[in-house]
Amino acid sequence: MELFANLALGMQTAFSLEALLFCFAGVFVGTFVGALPGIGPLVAISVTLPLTFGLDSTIALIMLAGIFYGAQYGGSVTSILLNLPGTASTAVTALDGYPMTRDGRAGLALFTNAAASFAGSSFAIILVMAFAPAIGRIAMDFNSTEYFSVMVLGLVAASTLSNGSTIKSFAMITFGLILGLVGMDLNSGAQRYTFGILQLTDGLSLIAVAMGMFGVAEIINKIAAPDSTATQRGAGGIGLRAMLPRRDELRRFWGPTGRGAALGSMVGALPGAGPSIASFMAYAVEKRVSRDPGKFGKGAIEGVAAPESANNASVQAAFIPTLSLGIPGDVVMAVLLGAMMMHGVVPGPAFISNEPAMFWALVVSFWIGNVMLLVLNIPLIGLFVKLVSIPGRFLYPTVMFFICMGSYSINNSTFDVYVTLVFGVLGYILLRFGFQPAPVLLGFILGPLIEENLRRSLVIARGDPMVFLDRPVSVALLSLSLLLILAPILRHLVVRWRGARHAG
Amino acid sequence: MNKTLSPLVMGAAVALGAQAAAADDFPTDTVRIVVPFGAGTTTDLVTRQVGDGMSEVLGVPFAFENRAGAGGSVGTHEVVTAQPDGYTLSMGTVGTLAINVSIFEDLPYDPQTDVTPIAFVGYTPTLLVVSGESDYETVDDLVAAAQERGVTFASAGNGTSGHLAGELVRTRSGGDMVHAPFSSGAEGLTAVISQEVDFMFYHPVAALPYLEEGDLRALGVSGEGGSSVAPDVPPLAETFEGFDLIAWFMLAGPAGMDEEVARTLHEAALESLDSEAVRTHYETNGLEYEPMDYDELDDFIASEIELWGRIAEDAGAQLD
Amino acid sequence: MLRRLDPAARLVSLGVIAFGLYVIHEGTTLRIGTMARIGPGFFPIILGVAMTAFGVLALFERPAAGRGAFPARGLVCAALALLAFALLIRTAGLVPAVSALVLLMALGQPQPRPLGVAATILALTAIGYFLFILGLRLPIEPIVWPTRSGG
Repeated sequence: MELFANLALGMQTAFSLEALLFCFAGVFVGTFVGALPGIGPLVAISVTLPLTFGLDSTIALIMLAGIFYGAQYGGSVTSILLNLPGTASTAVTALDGYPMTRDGRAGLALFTNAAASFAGSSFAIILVMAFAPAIGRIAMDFNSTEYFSVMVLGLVAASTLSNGSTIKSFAMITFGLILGLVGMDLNSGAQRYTFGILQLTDGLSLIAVAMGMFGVAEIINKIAAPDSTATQRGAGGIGLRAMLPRRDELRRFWGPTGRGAALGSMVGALPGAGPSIASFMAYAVEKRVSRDPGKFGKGAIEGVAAPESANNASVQAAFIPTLSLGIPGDVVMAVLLGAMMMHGVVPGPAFISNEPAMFWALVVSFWIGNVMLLVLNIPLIGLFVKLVSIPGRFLYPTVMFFICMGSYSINNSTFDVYVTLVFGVLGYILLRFGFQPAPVLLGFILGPLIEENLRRSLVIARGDPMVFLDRPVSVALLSLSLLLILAPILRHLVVRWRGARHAG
Repeated sequence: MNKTLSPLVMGAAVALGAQAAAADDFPTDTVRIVVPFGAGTTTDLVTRQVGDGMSEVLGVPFAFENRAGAGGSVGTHEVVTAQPDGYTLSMGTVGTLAINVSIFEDLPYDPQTDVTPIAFVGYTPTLLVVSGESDYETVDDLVAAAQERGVTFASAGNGTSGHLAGELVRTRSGGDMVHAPFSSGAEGLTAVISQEVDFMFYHPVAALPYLEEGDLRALGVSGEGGSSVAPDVPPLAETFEGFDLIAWFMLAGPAGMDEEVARTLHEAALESLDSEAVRTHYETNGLEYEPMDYDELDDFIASEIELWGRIAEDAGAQLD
Repeated sequence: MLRRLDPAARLVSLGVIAFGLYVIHEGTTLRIGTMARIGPGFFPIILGVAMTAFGVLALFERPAAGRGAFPARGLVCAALALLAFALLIRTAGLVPAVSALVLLMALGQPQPRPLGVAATILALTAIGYFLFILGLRLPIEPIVWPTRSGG
């Protein structure tokens, strides 16, 4: 078997003492950096990058990649415990993770996070091992029309994202789409909604908007009651028993984790689609397939398992388009790509066949790194959970400090701190009147992709709208979107028809 | 000599604002180079390589700061408003020092009056590539197709050097060529490979793996001198007379710098560019380098602004 | 229907409508384009119309129940804390920026305790120095001395 020969090749490097050491260093730094609100892997990788020049390039990449996926584990900690997501993908985890903390089930939520992350990553790694070259090819055949259709599907699927008023949820998605317009228009170069501010030319920073609408808004919400801890009921038990899922909870763990992993791998393999889209879509799918959608947003274990499994799977799968096409899924991946180029690794279709030792060592190290992360994270749960019992008068200034530093570090500029401020105040006011922030982020991420691909499709087709119905994948995706829109109406009709028959 | 001076004395000298004395001793403190693009971009890699070498030559630490935004205008603007003491520099590019002035309506700086050019540190020509499965074997095939049924070309965004190079091909050939901007060059490249669009201009090193696999075919190179990593590709100047476009990098500081300080930095940059480490990096990344005299820099920028400005103007009808 | 809504909730909905109208207004200054080349104004106008429509619909919705008193003091202090940090971090350095942030955050709480504030400032300055300046190498000075920036 060629696969086993390849794995053996990879293990030679990945199990060397040096590789294990740097892999551990990477995931360790990643976990902690990810756990700090607002800091994230971007800064950590940018800083570590110059330090890796002296290293062998495979070892350097093993460590830098470790920081990247390690941060995905750590990133969920503050969103579960404090409702402070550092990235858009963990904002989804906060939807149910934070209610679990409020119910005194923080330990279980963190355990679910670690276990689902591990399962999602493992699934995607196996997929990468088995199909990497093929996936790269398929992704290349995905053109603008298909991108447009898949993004529309994402938007439709996610319209069910938040609880409460549907109208307000739609209003917030639209608000996100509008925020996505800000900056220089890709197609025409026209400035839109930039008020003549140079820093807005590249658009608003997703991280600054997310930290404002979630982090700052949450602090404003809590600051008035200083001696309360983050949750009224405290951390709950932190012993092993409180952490491990009960049998019925375990049953509810596998389905969402499996679906999340599959969906995350698919989204991750698409060039240019980052982990945020994966977690939003996985959450939406679970809410669709659940027999009891009402429990989402109130601490459903499915609402933590699915997005975490999906975003970790997508991060691992995203190495395929990054390595084989040179197209990064998000900013962090872009920096990682730069790191590769700096080490003389040029991504391309022949990367796997030209550099088999490096590719397979990297893939094997992913798995080693994930095992390390699991082993590292489970004992840390006890420590992390204590965070919520810190009195507010210490906790909130500290978190605010990290938010400030985090938004400052995006571009080494105070401009993003002002953006965080504006969206913090706005987010708080909106939240108070029942407008949820999560759909804003979704619209913000998908909006530019939808517009860009629609316009590009039409430019290339020279204005013929039938282009969207020319290609089978695009047709299938658009039909699915239509079905999702019509489903509630159809269900309603069926129920009425059955009722009428019974009555008759 | 200056290494023996105690930091305390130096601190006092700076505090007194002793500019003239500082010029003789330059540099005594960390030199900061602002990279007006993100970490990991070609500009970033070039800056770090050249800067590290300069740090060795001058014996002071160099710090690199990424300040991306608005095609490099944000970072460049920050540097042109800094103290012209030689401690704050920027890595200029064909974009920040030549193209942006014709593309951005309210560019907050003038590359000819607000900048002290320090050293030309390298350039790269770009390749005109088409899909390996397409019927285009030569530039003439492409032009014929454009005149017959119309073709499309990709770029890494509106007003980028790749976009303008495509527009130049359009105006010079008189064919029907429609521009489809992508948010990154790599995305445009996959669209070319899958034949969603017909052609684009792309960096030789990034295109090379695809050329070897047969996914792409290079029909021409934008610079008159050709490309060292793809020596077999004919220059576009063979088809379109005088076609000579390159993407270049130039170390620069704010206007009003002491000439002695600028020349010290200039020499250090040349020495760094001569080093083994930088040479190897340039070779693996397809970057070309020819030294340029300190006194030629201003004229070079002026001629580039003129060249790209004319292309942008001719393309005007398409650049909404 | 409208009678039962509280005025604040209605004000927010009116704000949404005003925002939508503004988006449309700005959108009309941009080109709408043609099918073959959709202009930069096309999407903004559609989105502005949608925003306005949702704002109108939200006017007639029941407000979310169970709001407490408006935490005006917390809101103002948190906003000022961020503002002070942004103004000071580059011009004055880490120590003044952190001190201002912690002090303003403390003012937002009902009973600020001086000792706790001092301890928090000390701890965060230390974290900021070791983690961000030394560790992550952010271009920040611990304290910017006035003479240096002037020279």
